[in-house]
Amino acid sequence: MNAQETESKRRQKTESLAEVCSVRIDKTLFGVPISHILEIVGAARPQPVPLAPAYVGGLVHYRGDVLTTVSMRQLLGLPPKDGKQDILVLESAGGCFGLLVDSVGEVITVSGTDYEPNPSILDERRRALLAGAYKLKSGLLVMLDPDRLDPMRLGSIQAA
Amino acid sequence: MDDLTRDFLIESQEGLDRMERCLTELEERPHDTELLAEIFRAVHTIKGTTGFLGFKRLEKLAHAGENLLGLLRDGTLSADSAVITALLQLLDGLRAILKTIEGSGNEGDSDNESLIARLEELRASAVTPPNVSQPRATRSRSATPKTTARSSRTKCESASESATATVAATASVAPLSAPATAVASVALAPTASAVATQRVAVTSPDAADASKPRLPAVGAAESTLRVDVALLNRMMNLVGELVLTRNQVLQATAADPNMTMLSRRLDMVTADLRESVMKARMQPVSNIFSKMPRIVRDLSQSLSRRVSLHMEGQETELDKSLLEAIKDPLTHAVRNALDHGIEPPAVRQTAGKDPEGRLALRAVQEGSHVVIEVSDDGAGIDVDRVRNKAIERGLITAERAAQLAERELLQLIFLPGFSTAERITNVSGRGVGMDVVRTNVEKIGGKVEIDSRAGKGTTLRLRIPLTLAIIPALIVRSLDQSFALPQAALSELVHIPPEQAAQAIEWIENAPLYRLRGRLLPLVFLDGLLTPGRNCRLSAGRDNFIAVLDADGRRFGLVVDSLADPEEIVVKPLSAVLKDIGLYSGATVLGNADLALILDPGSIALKAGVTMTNKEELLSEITEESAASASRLEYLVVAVSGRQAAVPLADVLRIEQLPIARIEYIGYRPVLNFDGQLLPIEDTGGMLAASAEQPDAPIIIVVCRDGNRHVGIAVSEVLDVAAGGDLFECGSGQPTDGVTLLKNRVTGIVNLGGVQPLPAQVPNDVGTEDWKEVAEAMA
Repeated sequence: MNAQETESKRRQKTESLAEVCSVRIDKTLFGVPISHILEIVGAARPQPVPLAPAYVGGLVHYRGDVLTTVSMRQLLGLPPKDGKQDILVLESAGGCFGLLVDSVGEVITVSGTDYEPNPSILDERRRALLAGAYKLKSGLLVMLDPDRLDPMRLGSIQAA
Repeated sequence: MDDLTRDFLIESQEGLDRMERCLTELEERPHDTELLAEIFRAVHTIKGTTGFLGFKRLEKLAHAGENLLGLLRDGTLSADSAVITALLQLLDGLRAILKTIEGSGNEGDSDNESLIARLEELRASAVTPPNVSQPRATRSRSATPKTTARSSRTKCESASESATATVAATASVAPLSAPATAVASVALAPTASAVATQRVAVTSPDAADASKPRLPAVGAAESTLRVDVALLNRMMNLVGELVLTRNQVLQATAADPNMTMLSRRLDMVTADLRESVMKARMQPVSNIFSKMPRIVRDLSQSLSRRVSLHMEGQETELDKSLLEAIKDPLTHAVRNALDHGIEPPAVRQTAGKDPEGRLALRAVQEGSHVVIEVSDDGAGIDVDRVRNKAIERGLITAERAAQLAERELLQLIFLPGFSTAERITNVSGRGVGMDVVRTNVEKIGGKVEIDSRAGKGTTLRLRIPLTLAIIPALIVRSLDQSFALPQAALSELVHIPPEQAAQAIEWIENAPLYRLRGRLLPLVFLDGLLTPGRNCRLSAGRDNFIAVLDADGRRFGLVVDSLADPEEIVVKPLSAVLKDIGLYSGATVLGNADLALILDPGSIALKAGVTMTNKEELLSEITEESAASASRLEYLVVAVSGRQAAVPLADVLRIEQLPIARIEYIGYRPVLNFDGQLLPIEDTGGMLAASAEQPDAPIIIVVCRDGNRHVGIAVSEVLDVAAGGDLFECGSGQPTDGVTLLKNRVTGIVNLGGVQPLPAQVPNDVGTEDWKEVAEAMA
């Protein structure tokens, strides 16, 4: 069992209820802890950056700053989506960045008892991106950890 | 780190900065009690505060210093050079500990025993017979080089670490006359006003300083405020945002008459706000000038020179980030002036000069630039030595050197790898001198000029733009995206019409080249650079453009799809992951709310493998530059039916090439119709009449500004841009008017004012549209 999983277990014990913003990418429902979300920018069209790493979804203008976005579709190996996408503005240790998702859904309150860490059959690449899942009645809510999606960190993972 | 400690660090650093200034002054006026009191206060405050913050090492050092200063203040000891050197070491010691505290939160464990012992020794000497002080003075002098190295390091560090800017309302100049603040009361004749505007006077909680009753610092403290730079940057960002929102509001409400007044007001308020916030980021150059007396003192001691430093225009303001950026080049220039410029006293005396050299720093604002001058009255630059050295280093051939004028030879010192120092000193002479100054200044969009007369002295002029946050840029398009090209690197634009696309570019294997006025210019396709593997050709179906760029001596043409307007852009930083790509220096939001990446011409040149232009060419560019810097006017050289003529470059707006049939006539007057705007054409060469039979023949029109009207000059060919040389009337020596020396030919300057104005304001208020009809009818 790796360190991340033990950490997840610890978290599961200490906090029983958590609020998670649900986002949809392709057919999967993902969740991002709302404590990490600064703002949701709807229907944005990021400006592509030539020669940028593939996971960079482009630049958006956000409150006077230029924000680098990470394309969740690209990270998951999905084909790019045409048209506008929603952006979660996330705060991580390295600063702010945007996460490009297909659409943002409602905020769901989840219970720690429903939490399961990443399954062992998940491939290496996805295991680095995902942070376990909550079992909801309607299906699984796959958790995303904003710190692991930070563009700088992704850069070092891909380089490695 | 808690707030208390942070406040303590900021206050102490300010106190030490003041102390440094006072110490150099003290050397000239060793009995000035005001100065001594100020220095004592700085050290005492540190000692007092550090006691309850628990920094024992700092307290011990400050205590030793205070003891010595106490004697100085009482007049028991006089401030000779040895004492001042020791006090400067004390200053460096205190700074080093403060730095450690800032970095790690504790004061470290290296001890200052030797320094404390030295201070104690000096204190003890105050009561012992004076004959002991002689050997001591020499000893302290031998210690100076070490201090120099350390102090310069400390300086760089303290600059980068001071994260808070002190913002001062201009109002703080007023309370200067009142004996209100500790700072203002110090008799720093040239610096006093600058100091007061630049810093909030922090009068220390200094009850123990009984010799001088503490005065309440009301005036300055109430009118100024310390603000975090990060907050200012944020405000700048938000103002930028507001400007964009305003632009959109203005567009959206343009049609609604009810909104006109409101949106106009919004427009004005936004513009005002933007200006105020930019002003808040400005700091007086005295912030860096004030470091110079110490540097000059240390250097003149270690080089045994005698130098007096004069500073002027310290209140001139510059953006904080730029101020930081020019600190190193300026320090370098000052070092050069002392090491290479000002001669040792004995040499000066033999040359009939005052043994004390004069070094002057002058800052002055000229339009949107600040000019900083470093001038010395030293030996000047020996042009012959420069020539020989350049030949010896292989920077130039002997034949070429023989052709160069003195002024052009001087520019050689800016070439990388050039140094005339006979031997390498720890001050300068490693051959990384002037080119580093030039590179650093050019990096922030500035320029360096040099002027020197053998035996008389040297003047180095740094031209710095007022602000970096907003730069003029040309918006270009490629790959259906907008990119911003900084105007500073842009030297000219070449338009390639569709019909010439096929043959305009020549290839050597896979290297595209363009023949620009007879010289081959390496080309970089922007779309090809940004999408590797793309097949790059000029497309025959539309216009193509080449932006000729000059990035630190690398000259190349960037091929783009189209050009948009030049814009003043607000530079926004990119995240580290995008900065690592290396091609972009930032991003910006355009007036139409689109994002554009800002291209970095230097990196593009590197990435595309464009190397330094060969020396000869670089030199000819330098020559051009130097000619321009000599405040000689630059001219566009044109051929008008076989004759060479000149148009002042500053007046040229653009050059149009069009079929001769586009020219229409009002009576006998040729005019050109641009979407209803009539441009009078001056046809001195009679070319229009000469080629009237071929309506499709192209004609070149140079569109110029004359006062507030525009006029067109018909020419047969545009030859070059060159600087004009002065011509004088034989005998009288009067400078001539209307002619100039261009490319060694006497050339007439086209008199734009002589172009007859178009008939203005006709009866019945006929608009320009009607004029077109009239023109056609008459033609």
